[in-house]
Amino acid sequence: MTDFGENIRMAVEGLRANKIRAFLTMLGIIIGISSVIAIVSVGDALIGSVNDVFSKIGGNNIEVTVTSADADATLEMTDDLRIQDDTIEAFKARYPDIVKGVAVNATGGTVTTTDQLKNSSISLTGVNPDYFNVQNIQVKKGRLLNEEDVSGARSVIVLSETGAEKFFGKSDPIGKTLSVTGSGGDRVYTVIGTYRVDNGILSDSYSNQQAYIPVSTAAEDSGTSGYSFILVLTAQGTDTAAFAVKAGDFFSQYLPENSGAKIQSTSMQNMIQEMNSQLGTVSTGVSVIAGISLLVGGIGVMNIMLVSVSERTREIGIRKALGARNGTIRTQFLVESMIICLIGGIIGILLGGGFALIAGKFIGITVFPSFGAVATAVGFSMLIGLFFGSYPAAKAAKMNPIDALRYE
Amino acid sequence: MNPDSVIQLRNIVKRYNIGSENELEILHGISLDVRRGEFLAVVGASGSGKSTLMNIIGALDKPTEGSYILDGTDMDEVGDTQVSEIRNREIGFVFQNFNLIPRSTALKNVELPLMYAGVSRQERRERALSLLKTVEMSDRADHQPNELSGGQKQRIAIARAMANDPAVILADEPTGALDTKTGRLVMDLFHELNRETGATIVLITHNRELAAECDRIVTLSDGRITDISPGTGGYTDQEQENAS
Repeated sequence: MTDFGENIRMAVEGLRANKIRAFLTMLGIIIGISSVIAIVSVGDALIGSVNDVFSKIGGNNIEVTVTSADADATLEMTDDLRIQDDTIEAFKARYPDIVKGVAVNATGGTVTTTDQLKNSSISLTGVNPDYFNVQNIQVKKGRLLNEEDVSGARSVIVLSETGAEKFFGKSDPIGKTLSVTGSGGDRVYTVIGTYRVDNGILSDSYSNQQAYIPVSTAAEDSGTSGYSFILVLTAQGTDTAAFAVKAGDFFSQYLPENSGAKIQSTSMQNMIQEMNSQLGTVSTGVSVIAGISLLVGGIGVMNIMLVSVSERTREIGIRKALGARNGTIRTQFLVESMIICLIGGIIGILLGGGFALIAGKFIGITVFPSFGAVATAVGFSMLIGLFFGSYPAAKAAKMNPIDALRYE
Repeated sequence: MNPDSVIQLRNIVKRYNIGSENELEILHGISLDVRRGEFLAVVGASGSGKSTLMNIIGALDKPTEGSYILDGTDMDEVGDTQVSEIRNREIGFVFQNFNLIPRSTALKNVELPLMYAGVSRQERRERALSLLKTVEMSDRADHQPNELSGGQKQRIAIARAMANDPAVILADEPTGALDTKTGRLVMDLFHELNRETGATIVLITHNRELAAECDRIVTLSDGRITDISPGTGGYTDQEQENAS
């Protein structure tokens, strides 16, 4: 028969009477809980923003790369190792429902424009029309590349909106020409469009200088055919991890035997998983440290509760003489120990949340303290109080009232 | 068996360190009846077994032999939980050193036995306030023990002892820590309670003067009752003067 609110009131008053002692006792809990909250919140936010970025640039993408079979050896890339256009057509025909597009590119290299008296280097990439879909590149003005541009190996170019501004100022760039000097000699490109530049965390000055030309035009300049790297866009809902294996098997058949090359096929899903598992490892490490801190904190709580029980021996005797049952005394001390831990936990949550927000500012991501982590922290800190308070509480409950009353 | 007896002790023996070399018998067979509404004094020198007897009467300790019936309950047949309940409802302790709970107001201290009895918040507040009024401490309800004088503390303790309207108020040297004048006031309060509410009071003291003004005086010596004699029945000279 006890009044719970009364227990809480007594516990809080007891803590108030010994503020510094209570704070020092809570310190272990505060450190443990705040580090868990901080790391879980930052980790969640990181995973969230990485997933966001991946799904924006294509969570349904599969990367297929021709690479050296022997990790230590460098591969001499030749046309017969590269993935050829007819192989890609065969691949599209083999999986018509899954493959929504195959992006290919060929580096046109960094070239210097000689036009407009504005010497500047831009990075040319030869791409096919699918590339824009797969990479989620949006048209800003004019149009992007189409099949005719590629089949005709036309000298047309798509600039970034900021790139276009650099060359042509505020005037409309569409139809203007741009002379560039590259490895394949001089060429004059006609601007057919510009693409939108997102200021996401992956955009940088490099991507602003990125210009796209038909892949066939780039091949003409470099004198090679085929691609050592392609991006496959799959239909929504595809199990990309499983399809990556199939795609790898498909392209492997076209590799000459004993060429020293192999096909590496990875899905974004694989990459996200790998990233998540790496973050998970970090989280586990911090959690272990936090766990140790909580254990030490719990032992501190048990220690101070034992002190509190022996300091209040006489009080326990009085309470028993007034009719408190053993269970009532036990509850009183358990509540006190749980409140120490709960207050420590709440301070830890606030502190950890603060750390997470500050860390988020530095990394440049939005951090929201995870609700699950907060709930777990509150529950866990109360469990610590319950666990480490149970021995002192039992000791108080078992006290003989006569001895307790006589205690000086 | 006397139906008027609140306390009935029969051949109470208390031994400590049973079975060991230094086995010690403190009480050698005490038999005593306390009537309902009686103000009984137990006197004896220190070491006479007073405290041990008080612990047994207060259900803080169990006798080694003999039977103790408190308000119709055979204490031998009572379990641990029930003992707490009996201490809560049937006994009101008043200690020499007050034994108020520190950092709890006078009101909270008086409410404590009511809380353990499961009385609702509202009801126990009302009851505690009326008890504080009885002991003339209403204006100190929100004071903590360290803000009160010894006499005030003992008044609070007496109010607390009466909270659950117990069968017996057990007062162990209640004036021992007080100066003569304050002690006098506390004794007057006991007499008043005994007369006006019919409370049964067992006063344990070594002060024969205070004992003399009770209804009956039991003298304890070396663990035996050596004398039972009638007292003046609670009227001090001054009160008798006032009455006449």
